[in-house]
Amino acid sequence: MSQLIGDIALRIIIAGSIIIVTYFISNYTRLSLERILSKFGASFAKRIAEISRCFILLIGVVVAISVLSLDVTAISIIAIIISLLVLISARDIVLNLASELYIVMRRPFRENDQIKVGDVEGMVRSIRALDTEIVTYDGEVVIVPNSYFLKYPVINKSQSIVRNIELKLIFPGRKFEEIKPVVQEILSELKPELFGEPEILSINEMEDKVEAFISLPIVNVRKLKWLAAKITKSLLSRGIEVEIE
Amino acid sequence: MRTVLIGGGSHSAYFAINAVREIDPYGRLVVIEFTSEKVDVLSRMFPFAELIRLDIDEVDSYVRSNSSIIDVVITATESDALNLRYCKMSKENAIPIIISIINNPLNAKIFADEGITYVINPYDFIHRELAEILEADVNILYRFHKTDILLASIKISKDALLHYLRKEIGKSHDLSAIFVSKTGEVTNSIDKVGLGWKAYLIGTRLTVEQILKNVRWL
Repeated sequence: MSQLIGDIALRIIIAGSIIIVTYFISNYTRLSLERILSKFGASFAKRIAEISRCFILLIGVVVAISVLSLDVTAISIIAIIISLLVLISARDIVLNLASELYIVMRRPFRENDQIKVGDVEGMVRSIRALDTEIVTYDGEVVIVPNSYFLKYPVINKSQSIVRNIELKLIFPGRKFEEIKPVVQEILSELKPELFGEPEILSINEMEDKVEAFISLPIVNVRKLKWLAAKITKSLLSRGIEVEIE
Repeated sequence: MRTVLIGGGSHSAYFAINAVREIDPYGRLVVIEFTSEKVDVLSRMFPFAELIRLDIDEVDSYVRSNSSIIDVVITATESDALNLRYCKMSKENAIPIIISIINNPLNAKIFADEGITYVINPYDFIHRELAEILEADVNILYRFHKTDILLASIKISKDALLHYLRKEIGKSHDLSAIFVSKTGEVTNSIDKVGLGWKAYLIGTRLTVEQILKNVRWL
């Protein structure tokens, strides 16, 4: 009897020691991972480190239970079933979390990059655990689930800080000769708001209108609306009506 | 390009204003300063800039209300706490380029952790300059902000080092080098290089860092 008690006490001590050692190892791992992964962003590093810590603690608990000679088979089956249920019910969340891992490690784009993914185009405002905020050229904030970046090709347009945006100006009932100098004047007025030289790509005279294509080197693409309004206002002050596409 | 510089009265702002003027001579430069005395002085010093006096708490609403037309925000106040506050606020308002000129180099990590991509540390050059003057064995001369490119110099003091560089430069497709002798002779051919020369390497960060790491062991 005393031998059995001694045996159980020994097992409890070993299991307790395993839990304590696992606790310290998991804490050490968390700190190390946080330090190593900090180059990918503090919040990302913290999250991965915390997940790793929980995983190590779980392993420690399972080992401790097996040392106590409890039936781990039943516990394992329950754990597997729960894990599967969690995975199935939260598969989109898991997929989005995995996608964040892809975005942070592979870095197809970073915050402040201009990107196009699927139908969404704009500037990346923030990359979060489950989604990414993109500010479109109209100033709208689109929240894109991270899994979207695994499904659709991402075009990163941020090699340069400048984007050349083309505008089509339509002048109804006007002639080529009167429009060209006006457009040149307007572009020189816009120059302080642009980064580089604005260009007239072409001016074509149709039957009852003139079409001008201009290219504007813009850093903040949200400025486009404001620039279009400025062009319209400036032309109206000269008595010229314009449609901008 | 419309650039807003916050904290025009600081030392670093003086250099930043002149640099922005040189980079974008036709652009609009708005300088925000907190004291009217400094605004007067700055408006005489920088007639090309638009000087605005705002209280510390008014800057947020100015940037917020103009966020769709501001291209660049540069924070150059004498307080890193304020710099960080304005950077975070600019980031929340989706300003495309946010640059902070920090006062205390130890704060650089805090800015990086907050996702501020461009942090200029004016003290960064001290190590680089000392290493160049005192002829350190290796010296990282420049880490580019926007690309993973690294520029470094290595003093060729051993035959083993020369052989190693010859091998690395021969096989790498993402690495270039020029060599300068003690007498100032310059070449891009490692075959003409001997001991005492200095190699200036430019290449991808990973490649150059690996070379620097190995060189320290040779």
